[in-house]
Amino acid sequence: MTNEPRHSRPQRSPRPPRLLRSLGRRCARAASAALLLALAGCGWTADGADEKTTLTRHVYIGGKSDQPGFNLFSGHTNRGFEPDLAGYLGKRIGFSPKWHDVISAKREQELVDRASALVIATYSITPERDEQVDFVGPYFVTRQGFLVREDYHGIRTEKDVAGKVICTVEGSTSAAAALPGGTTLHTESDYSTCVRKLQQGDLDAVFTDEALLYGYVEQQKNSATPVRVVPDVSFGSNNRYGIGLPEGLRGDCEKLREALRDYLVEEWASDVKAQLPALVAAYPGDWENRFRPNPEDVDTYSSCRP
Amino acid sequence: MGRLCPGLSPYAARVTNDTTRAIPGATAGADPPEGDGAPRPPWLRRAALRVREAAAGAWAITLLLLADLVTVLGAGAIWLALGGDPAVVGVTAAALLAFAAAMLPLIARRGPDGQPPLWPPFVLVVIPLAVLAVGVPALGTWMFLDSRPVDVTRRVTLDGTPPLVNGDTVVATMRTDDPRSRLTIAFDVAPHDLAAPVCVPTVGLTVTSEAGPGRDQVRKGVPGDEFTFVLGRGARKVELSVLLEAEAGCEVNLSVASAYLDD
Repeated sequence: MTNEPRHSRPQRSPRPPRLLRSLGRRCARAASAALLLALAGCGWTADGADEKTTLTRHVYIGGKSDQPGFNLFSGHTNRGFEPDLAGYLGKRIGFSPKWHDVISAKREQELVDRASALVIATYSITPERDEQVDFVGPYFVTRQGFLVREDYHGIRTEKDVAGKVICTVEGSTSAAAALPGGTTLHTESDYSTCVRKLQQGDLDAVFTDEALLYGYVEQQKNSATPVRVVPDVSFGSNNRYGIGLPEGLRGDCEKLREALRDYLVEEWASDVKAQLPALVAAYPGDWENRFRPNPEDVDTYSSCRP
Repeated sequence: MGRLCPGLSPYAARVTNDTTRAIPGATAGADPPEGDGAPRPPWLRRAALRVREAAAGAWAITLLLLADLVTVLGAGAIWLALGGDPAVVGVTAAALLAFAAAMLPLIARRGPDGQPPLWPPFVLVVIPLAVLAVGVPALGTWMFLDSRPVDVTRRVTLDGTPPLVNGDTVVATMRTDDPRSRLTIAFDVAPHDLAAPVCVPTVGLTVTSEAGPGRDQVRKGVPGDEFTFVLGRGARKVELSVLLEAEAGCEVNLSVASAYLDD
């Protein structure tokens, strides 16, 4: 009587023994786990962003090694604020920086072509550049100013800039800034050439980021023609230097963002004091307020916002 | 019949009599075959016969009339919704309804040989039925739409000329024929020169209402924030001043991201 319902059921294929069923399930689970691990290993997230890291072992960084205070190649090594920053990031993330030169106008191309994994080269974050590359930053905030010979007093206010011969670098944000009418803008491929021509008397002033100019003030203070930054004369908006990286490397971007936030708190001030003493001396007691970004700004301005 | 329906008109009684004459089979057969064998009450039988007779002669014209009226009223409602002048729409709809009502007696008139009218009196129901068929959904739709916020984003005009810099003030003006008691507006700020250093995150906005019963309300925020202003009843014009705060040298363009009126 109790067996009748069983006999009336449709016939099924015989079930495998319990041990085999369990084995099959385990295999399926293992295969699923392996697939997930493989996907994670391939570096792709659910939203399609590339999580694969390129910041391992030796990392090529595009830099401008003719900028005293920020990055100057001398004695077979790169010295300055930016090598200090790269060293901190390398220690935190686990890579060894390898510098190679890049000019201002070629920085986006350097990253698009993946010739460098990073660009740390007084690289201002702009909406136009942000369409081609990603940024982590800022690590420095500076307005733009004028460098003149120490004995030159032809520029005291913004109005005085009209009619002067001004040098800046092609591809920089300074080259795009609106200077007063009648100004003759002369562009070079690097700032060192601008400064040399300024000292030779071929130009009236060099126009670029104030922080960068203080590097030249320090470098040239003992030269035959020392230079100075004109106080309180500025055009354009503040420049915020960011670390450039190829678009879409979300994993690298997030690692750099976290590390940079810590850097601003832990080592930024000591590095500026060591590498840009002329800047510190120009704004005693106020230089951090003027040039140091808030760590929260890194979340606001970076391409990979949290 | 008189006992069951004491209020029924003599006309209705006549139709009933005509029916019994016109369909002899129905009366001669006395009772139609009944599957359950239970006899039907006489009043129910008479009512069934009336309906059958009415349907046989007038359903087509009744439905035609109903469809015609629904179309006329529906077209009027849509015309009104699309911005038609209510007076013009109302007069047109009323004229068409009057025309349809005037046609009814003609349809009802008996022929010279005393033939029954083309339609029974219940055709009169088509006019209120059509009004209900159009009016109820139209009223529901109107109430639903009226309860939703009105998007006026494209109606807000800005008088400032880009680029805007720190300290610039732009006047935003909006006119509407659909006044509501509250405006919620958000502004967008974009860099004027894409090659210039990024500065949009430094921008702050102070928005002040300048006209109407709700004037002098001040709201502060950043681009993308929604600012809400109480306008008061019947405000057809809204004027806001937008003061821009930004770091030195920052040049931006201002636009309206969204603007909604609601109650």
